[in-house]
Amino acid sequence: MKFFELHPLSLILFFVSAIAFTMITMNPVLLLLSFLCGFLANAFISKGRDLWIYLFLIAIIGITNPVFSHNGETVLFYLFDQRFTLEALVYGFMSGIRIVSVIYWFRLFGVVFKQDKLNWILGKVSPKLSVVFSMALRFIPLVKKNAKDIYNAQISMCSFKKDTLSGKFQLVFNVFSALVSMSIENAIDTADTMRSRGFENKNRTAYSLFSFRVKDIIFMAITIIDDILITYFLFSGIASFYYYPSMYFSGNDNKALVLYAAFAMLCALPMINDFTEDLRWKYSISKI
Amino acid sequence: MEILNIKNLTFKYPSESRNALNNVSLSVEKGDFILLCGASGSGKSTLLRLLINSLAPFGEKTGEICFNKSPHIALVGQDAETQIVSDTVWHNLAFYLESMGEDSNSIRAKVAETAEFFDLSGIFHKETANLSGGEKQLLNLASVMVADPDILLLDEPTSQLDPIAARHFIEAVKRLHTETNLTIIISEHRTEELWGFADKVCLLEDGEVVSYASGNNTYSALKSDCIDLPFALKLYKELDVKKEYPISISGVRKFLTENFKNEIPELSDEIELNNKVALKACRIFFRYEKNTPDILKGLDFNCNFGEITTLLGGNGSGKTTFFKLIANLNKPYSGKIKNYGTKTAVLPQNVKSVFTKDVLREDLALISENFVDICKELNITSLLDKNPYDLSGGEAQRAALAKILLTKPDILCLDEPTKGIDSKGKRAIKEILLDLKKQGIAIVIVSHDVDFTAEISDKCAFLFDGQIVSNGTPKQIFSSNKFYTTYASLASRHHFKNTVTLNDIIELCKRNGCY
Repeated sequence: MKFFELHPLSLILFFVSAIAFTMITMNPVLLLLSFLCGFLANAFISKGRDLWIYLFLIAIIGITNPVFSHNGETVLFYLFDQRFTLEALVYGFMSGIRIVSVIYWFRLFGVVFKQDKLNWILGKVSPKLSVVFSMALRFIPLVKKNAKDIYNAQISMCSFKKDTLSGKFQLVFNVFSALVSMSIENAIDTADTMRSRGFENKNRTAYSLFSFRVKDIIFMAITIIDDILITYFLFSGIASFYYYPSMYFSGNDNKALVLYAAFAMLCALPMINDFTEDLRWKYSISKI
Repeated sequence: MEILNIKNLTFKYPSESRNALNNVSLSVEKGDFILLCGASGSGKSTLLRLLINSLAPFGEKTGEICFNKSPHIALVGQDAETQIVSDTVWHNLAFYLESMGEDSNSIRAKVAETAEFFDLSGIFHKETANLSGGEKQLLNLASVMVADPDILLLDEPTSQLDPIAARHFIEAVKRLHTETNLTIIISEHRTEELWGFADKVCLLEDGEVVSYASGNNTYSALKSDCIDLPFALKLYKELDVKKEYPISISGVRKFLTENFKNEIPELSDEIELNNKVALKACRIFFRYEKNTPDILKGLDFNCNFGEITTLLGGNGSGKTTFFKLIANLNKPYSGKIKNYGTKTAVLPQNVKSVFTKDVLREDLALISENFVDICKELNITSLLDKNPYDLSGGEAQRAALAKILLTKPDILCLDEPTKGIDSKGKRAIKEILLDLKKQGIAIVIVSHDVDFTAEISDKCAFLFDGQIVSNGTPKQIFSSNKFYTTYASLASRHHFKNTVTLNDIIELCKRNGCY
């Protein structure tokens, strides 16, 4: 099962963890890990090609910060009589990396989390809401088709003069009003259908094609263990990193290594999942 | 065991003076297959809707509808499009069960089983917007069947489908009945496959039950001719032979050989040649997008003024696309269409897309103020103050035709003009078209309806895979086609020559005389 085929619950847990931890930390190692994994995951899973553009964003944020923030001990040079410090520059780049990492994770989320998964979540919140959502998705192509039919019919009758501005406006207005009547008329029929299929019943459930498999359990278990480790070490302060007035790492090096390992494991999960899946496929083919 | 009993049911819509249903009494046994017949507006839909509480129309109701043990009733209606609720096929199937509060595992099992029965597993993950009309209607049937109803009501389910999809749908309904012994009440204009199959045929006329008996017995009770009879019955009734024959094509074959001589084997095929060309298309190539395959591949076509030319062909053969080219909505990338007319008008398949105003009178006035004469001609004067969306299929068709004729076209194109129209409506359209033809208008029809085509056209062209593969008069086309032809031709070709319509057979039988 590839990453995007996992159960929505596993995916949500993963993305919430990855994004939340990236957002609350300023530790450079953690940020770089998140950035690197986010980049690679996007490159391999969503085959994104415009990922490089975000590097400019990092550069802009990195250079902008020292222009406005003058904290820090190491002065590199003076810009318009203001201190331009190394600490502020590093802090700026780290903020940029943090923002772009979060963007990368959201990008992957957008690629992986298609409407069927969104609908699953809505169904958990309110089954009726999820019906409304899928009705809307069905409605859009239908309205497009009707609009085209009406437009073509009106054009071929030449009921409006297309070459004058007022004629064009009249045409659009009349097509639109006909489209609204047609949609309402259709909606009444659909409402009847829904009523006859018991939509008004109180105890509605939401069915989905997703089922929770062993792979999901393993994936979620790893995510949760990582989450516990990271939360524990992060809040016990072993990885605190200060930028101002001078850069200073206050944590315990050995324990921090465990934290880094746990965080790397978490961020690399999508890729690990897909690589093992590919390997298994190749192995099963070579056996045949 | 009786499952449904209707006693003296009378119903009147608040806005109308006449009763929609008048003293209707019916008794339905469990496992019955009942065919409800009647012209448009005879009260079929009203009767079916009154059986379901949540859909019952508002109005004055007297009489009783008694059920045995409050059965679960499901309805599939006319319009395949509006009965689809959700964006994916699987979600539509699950919808009913979700409403009933079933848990995921039982929904999974029931949906799978139903999808398999109706052969929907191939499109299970598809989006409903990409389905064909036939698939949509089959999905609607499956979507109510998942909930295992005790009575299934079908309200003209095939009226918006092409004949092949319609036959497929009817087959599914029949299979459902024979395999599960489900109680089914179906109202249909396509009675060909159902008349003999149904346990009982119920004839409704102006809201009254004229006859309620098995198909063979109903036949003798028939009075008016506005009911959609199967082809065989129409013939038997016209020729009035005492002995009974089965209602099927083989029945007709036997009927003809046993009763009629064939000394005069054929009617002469008069072609009135009219040489004034209206439209000439030469080697047309067309595709919608750069990377999609060609829809039209070197199509040649021409039609003359004062003639009715019909384009026949299955779904996806490019008929509707060709119409768009004629109407100048699209342009071919190769080849030329020469249009010798002054104005070309197209009546689209979805006739309601023609109207833009709430009142028909205002709508017609958009085109021209002098609509009174045309309205009289098309018999829609009484409808002028109605909302176009409230008109029945046949009425809407005529109103749309009126609007299009107001643009004074000399080339008129009609896309499936008989879709969802009963035989009375078809006759009205036929008369109108013949009249227009006499006025010298060139009429091009795209249709699936071979029987209608054979009756009305001067020339037919058979479109397949983007090309015209054969053309000629209906007699030439349909008597040489072995499969894609009319019932009349299939049933009479062993006995007569070139008989392609019911009237041809009747005419020849009368000329030849009985044994």
